[in-house]
Amino acid sequence: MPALLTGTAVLLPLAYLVLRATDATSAELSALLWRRKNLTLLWNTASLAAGVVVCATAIAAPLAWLVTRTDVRRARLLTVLAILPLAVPGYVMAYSLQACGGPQGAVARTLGFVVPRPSGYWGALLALTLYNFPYLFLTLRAAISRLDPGQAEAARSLGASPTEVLRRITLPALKPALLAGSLLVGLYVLGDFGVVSLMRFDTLSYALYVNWTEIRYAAWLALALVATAGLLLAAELLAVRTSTVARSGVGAARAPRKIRLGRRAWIAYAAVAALLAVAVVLPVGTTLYWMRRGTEAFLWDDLLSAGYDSVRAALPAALLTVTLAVPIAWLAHRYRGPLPRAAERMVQLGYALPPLALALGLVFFAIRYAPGLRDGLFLLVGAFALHFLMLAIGPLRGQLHLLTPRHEEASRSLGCGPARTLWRVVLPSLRSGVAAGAVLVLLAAMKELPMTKLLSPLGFRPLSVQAWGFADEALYADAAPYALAMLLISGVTASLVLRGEAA
Amino acid sequence: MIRVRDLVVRFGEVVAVDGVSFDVAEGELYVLLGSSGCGKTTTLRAVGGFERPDAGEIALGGEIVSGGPFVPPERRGAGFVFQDYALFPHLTVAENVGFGIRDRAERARRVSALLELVDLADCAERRPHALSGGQQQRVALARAVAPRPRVLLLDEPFGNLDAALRGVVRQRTLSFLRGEGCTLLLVTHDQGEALAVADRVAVMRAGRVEQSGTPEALYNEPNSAFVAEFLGRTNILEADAHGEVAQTALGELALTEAARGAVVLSLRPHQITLVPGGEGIVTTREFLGHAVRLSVRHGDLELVVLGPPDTPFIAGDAVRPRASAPAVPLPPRR
Repeated sequence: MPALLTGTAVLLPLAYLVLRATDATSAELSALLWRRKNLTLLWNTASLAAGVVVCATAIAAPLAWLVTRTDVRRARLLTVLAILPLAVPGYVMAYSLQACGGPQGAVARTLGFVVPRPSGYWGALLALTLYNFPYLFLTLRAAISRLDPGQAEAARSLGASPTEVLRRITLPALKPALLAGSLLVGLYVLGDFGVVSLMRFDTLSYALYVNWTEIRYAAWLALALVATAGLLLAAELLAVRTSTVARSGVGAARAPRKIRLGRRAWIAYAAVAALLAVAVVLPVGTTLYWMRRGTEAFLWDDLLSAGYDSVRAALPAALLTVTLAVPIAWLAHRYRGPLPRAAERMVQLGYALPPLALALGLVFFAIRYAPGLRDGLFLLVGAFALHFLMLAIGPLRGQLHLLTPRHEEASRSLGCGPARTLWRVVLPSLRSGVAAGAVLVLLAAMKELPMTKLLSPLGFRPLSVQAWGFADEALYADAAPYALAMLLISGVTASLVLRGEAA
Repeated sequence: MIRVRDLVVRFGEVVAVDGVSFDVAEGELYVLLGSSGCGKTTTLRAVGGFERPDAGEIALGGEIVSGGPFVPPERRGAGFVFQDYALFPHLTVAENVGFGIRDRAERARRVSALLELVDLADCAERRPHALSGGQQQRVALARAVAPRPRVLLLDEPFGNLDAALRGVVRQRTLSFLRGEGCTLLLVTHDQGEALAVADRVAVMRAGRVEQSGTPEALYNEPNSAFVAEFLGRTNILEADAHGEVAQTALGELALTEAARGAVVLSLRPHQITLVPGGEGIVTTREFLGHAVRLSVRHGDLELVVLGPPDTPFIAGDAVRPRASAPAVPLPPRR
């Protein structure tokens, strides 16, 4: 039942987008479709996504190799530091990059020299890369530590040089992880609104936001966004299917010899330090600097009311999400069949859908059938739930694995009916997973920008919208306290991710 | 073809290989035998170039590959068959076998010839995970010999096969490899396997070679109690030797070579016969089909005796053990 509900809720806005988009004469349609700008938008979006994937891989792969395959000391600390940039949301990164560069920037004011103020493609690329590389780092780290060193040795004994081993053995083995990580990053870039808007870089989602009142064009842009995301998903599926990397041998893999770094370790430390300086110290420092500059303009009341607004939407969203997540996760775990499979796909689709497209579909739908919905938080909470369902299901899945049908059968044999078994056995054992999922969704919803922006009722100004709004108008001092609040929230998220990694 | 001199390999504090030397002649099958942790696999990996020795020298076909300038594995011309086969999961069987051959035309020819030889021509386009364990092992062999290596190094190549299958596969494999004209260095912990296939064997223990020689020499003339016991069951007797004979708990025994004073003797189970009546008591009896194995308590001694299938004694019978062959005198136990 909740699965069906979710499915409809994801597909409905999509369907409605299609309806609005095709609701025109063919002449009007072709005029819309052949706007010269559309090609530029597509190209910009694609090149940004590709650029971020390439740059993030270029940072993440060597880092992952460093902490898994060399004898570098404090590998655990380095791992933590490498994940830390997750604590700086993309738009806060973009804000701080802009607020520290240029003749009026924080660097010029404190240190007396002017660093360039990034914007456009390179600015967006920088901000998105710095936020996204930890995701790739995590997937690659896991994949590299699973690599079988016997494979490389076998290739060497057959006459392959180390570079040949990399090309013919190691890269194919890492391909699934690389693809999965790239997909995650690519989808994020497609959906990103905060960074490209602050950097004034024309991508599909930015154009969608700027043109959203022009309903038909916006619907087309949203569909283009959805189609691009769909292409990414399909490409990933196809590529994964053609690459099998099951370990075929028997017996345990030999633990790899760690490469001795010796003095070269300093190069590694210096590189990580430089990375952290840009990805973490710079945004935190810039925000703190503008925070101190802006004390006279800063009102505690405004910050508190923004915080209240954030929680007001995020808390119900978190509760709704886990309420939907528990039955879906349980269903998918216990039953194999088309319905649970479809429910899982819907959940993934909800996460993969670019948030702006999802929000726009919901808006159109509400305007047409239930105009009253737009005044409350209902739409926003619903959109959060659809988009973040996957976050809540993740931790549940891990715990469900520990719960076998035997446990339920034991409960039944002790005289509990199915309902009482669910209540007394299944749910209690899921407790910590439910809590973890709820916290993840709560934090993600508080950080979320594009859907919040589009679906907010009048007078609703949560932290994320405030931070972005002031930054968008280059009011860096005014934006600082909100940005700082976002940094704190994201810091908590990052520490949760870290705990999950440690476990 | 392979020359190893005073090889030492350390892992931090642990000395895995502690001064190992041996020579393998061209076309020979040389076996490194020992229990796990004795350094045999590390020695093999050092010959392959996967471990850097801390001291000593390794030469392949007269060319020094370790101990002088270090030659990386890909330029040693040494094929390696790994215990877990390490087949490349993303390549087909044919691509696996052809991996090490540079020339295209040559690759196609050699791959199809080899797959024919190992009876896998039908599986050329399959992936390794779709094969049985025995088939995977044959792919690994074909892949290793495909580039025509000077020597072939095998790390427990039959260890992952069913015991029932192992004997047959072993014979087929080795006749295939001998047909390819390979010089073979094989590592195993299975003494039966070592004795059955080797031209010569080196028994290793704690990073050193305990004794080396032909299987017959090792079995019949072990020079330590360790080797005697490692190469099949034996009875170790304390003795007082006077030249060609020695006084033992079983009475006076003939010796294979002269010795003096306190020595230990090795007497194999089949070299003892039993006659009815005496101080010995049969404690267990196992019928093996081709033989009967008995445990006999004789004073403080617990003897293992292998008799013919029609041996009449059962548990509880009183028997007198007699040596039917001269015993081997060993240096006192370490």
